[in-house]
Amino acid sequence: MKAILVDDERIARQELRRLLMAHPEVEIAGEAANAEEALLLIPRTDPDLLFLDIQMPGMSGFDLLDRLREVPEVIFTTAFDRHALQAFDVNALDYLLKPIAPARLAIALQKLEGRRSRPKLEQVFLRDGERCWIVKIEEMDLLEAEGNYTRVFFRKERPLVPGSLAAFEQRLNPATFFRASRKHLINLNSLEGADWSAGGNLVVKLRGGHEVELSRRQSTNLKELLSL
Amino acid sequence: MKLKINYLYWTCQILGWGGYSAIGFAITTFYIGWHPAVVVGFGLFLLYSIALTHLLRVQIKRRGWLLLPAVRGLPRIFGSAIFVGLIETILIVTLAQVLPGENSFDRTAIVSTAGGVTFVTCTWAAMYVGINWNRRYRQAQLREVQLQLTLRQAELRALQAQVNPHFLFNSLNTIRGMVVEDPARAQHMITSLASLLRRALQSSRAQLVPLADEMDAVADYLSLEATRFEERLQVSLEIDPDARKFTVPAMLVQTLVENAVKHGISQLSSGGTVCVRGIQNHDALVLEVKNPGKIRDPDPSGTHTGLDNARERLRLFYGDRATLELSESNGAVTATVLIPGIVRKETG
Repeated sequence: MKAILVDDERIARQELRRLLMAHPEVEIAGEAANAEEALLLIPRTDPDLLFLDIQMPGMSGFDLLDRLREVPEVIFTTAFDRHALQAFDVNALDYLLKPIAPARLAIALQKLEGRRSRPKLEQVFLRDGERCWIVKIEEMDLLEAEGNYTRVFFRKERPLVPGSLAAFEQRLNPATFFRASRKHLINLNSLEGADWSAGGNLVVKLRGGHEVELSRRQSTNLKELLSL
Repeated sequence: MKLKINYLYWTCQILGWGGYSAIGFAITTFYIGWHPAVVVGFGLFLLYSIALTHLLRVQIKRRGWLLLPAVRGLPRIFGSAIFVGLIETILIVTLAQVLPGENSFDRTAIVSTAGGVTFVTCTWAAMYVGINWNRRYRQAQLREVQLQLTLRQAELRALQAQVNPHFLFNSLNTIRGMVVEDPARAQHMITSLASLLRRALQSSRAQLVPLADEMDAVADYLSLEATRFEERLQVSLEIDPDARKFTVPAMLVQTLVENAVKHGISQLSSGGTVCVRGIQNHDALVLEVKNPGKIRDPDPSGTHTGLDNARERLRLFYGDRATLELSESNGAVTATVLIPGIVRKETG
């Protein structure tokens, strides 16, 4: 497993390196002292795992994730950041408090191993104000345009994140995500049923109870797509 | 608040004078029988009594008699109340003669009327003063409670700021690394951290300490941070021997230096130098803490709380005579503190 260490303190990176010596399965592919360095390093090394400090000069750890098209597995490392730790959904990620306890590091890596034995899923980083999530693309049921923002529906969450629906559509696999209407992009894998509206348009039901009415043209397109 | 007090005032005016007029009317009617003139007389009495005492109130408020010390305020208020009583007497007697009926007053009746009416206006003044004093007393008590509450909150904040958890855990992490890399340095760091923690646990923020002591703590703090940030943090401490004798609020310089590291050094990949300068200027102490960086808008996580806290403590100790200014020039931020020399402690 290839890992990258991102922390602005050399001693902290060195300390993490020493702790990781007990885990030979983790290969350290590089180190970055700030987010800018990490942005250059990540595409070059294509890591499976990021050890990421939150408070760094210039861009924070969250800002870095915001800039990544595809997010590797992330383990946050921070000394004390009550604010940031409350911000993200701890179920989706793991975080280690410095000084890092070796046993705690082992647990985090074990958790990751369990996750990696399943087929790898792409994931993205979403941020709405002070809350953050790392979301598997498969988990996203529906995306709804709200001006220059997009509301993303997954699990029971529905954050409003920056970026137009068109920008999201470009990033997502067109075989899975279908443009239902001007305002909606739906995940075909979360389709649970369909019905006809009074106006003769297709109304799809999605996982999580969302209902979306398709435009006339897209009703025809989806019908063809599904009957194939 | 204002509406409520006016409401109270007008209720008292109408009920008080109304009740007094009603009783007077009842007694008069009982003795001399039913006369329309008596009805008119007491009706007018009710109206001009309210009007005259209201004028008295306007006067008391406009001239601020209630704000004067009692020895000077009360004679003015009661003097005016007696004056109002005399005007009322004149009105009563005059109206009694103008109105039809046999209501003429003889000399004795005039004197007793004057006495009675003046007594009533003085009672009015006494009640007015009493209610106002009571209200002011309660407001003062409320202010006292609010002040206590503010102090308590400040103490709590100070306690949380004394040991900055972010600093503490980062230092421990650095020490953990140093144990392997440079054991002598690790030992030195543990000593510095121990003395900082001891100081934080022992000293109260509500006290003044010699600048020399404060600078010892600052040096401990900066040596720990310099190890953590390595070449990113350079330190320059220049304190004049004269300046070291001044006393400063405990943790004042430390707060400014922590800010310099947090908002200056740690935001810059290349880091820079934190300069602390202390000089005596005339009778005042001038302290400067300078770091590379920019003044940023306060963010919701509380960027300026440390600075606000320092200002608050300066105000508690020195009132308006001490200042704390933040300025920016040539890519550097300087916090300048000016402390008056009155609390200067002469040693030796």
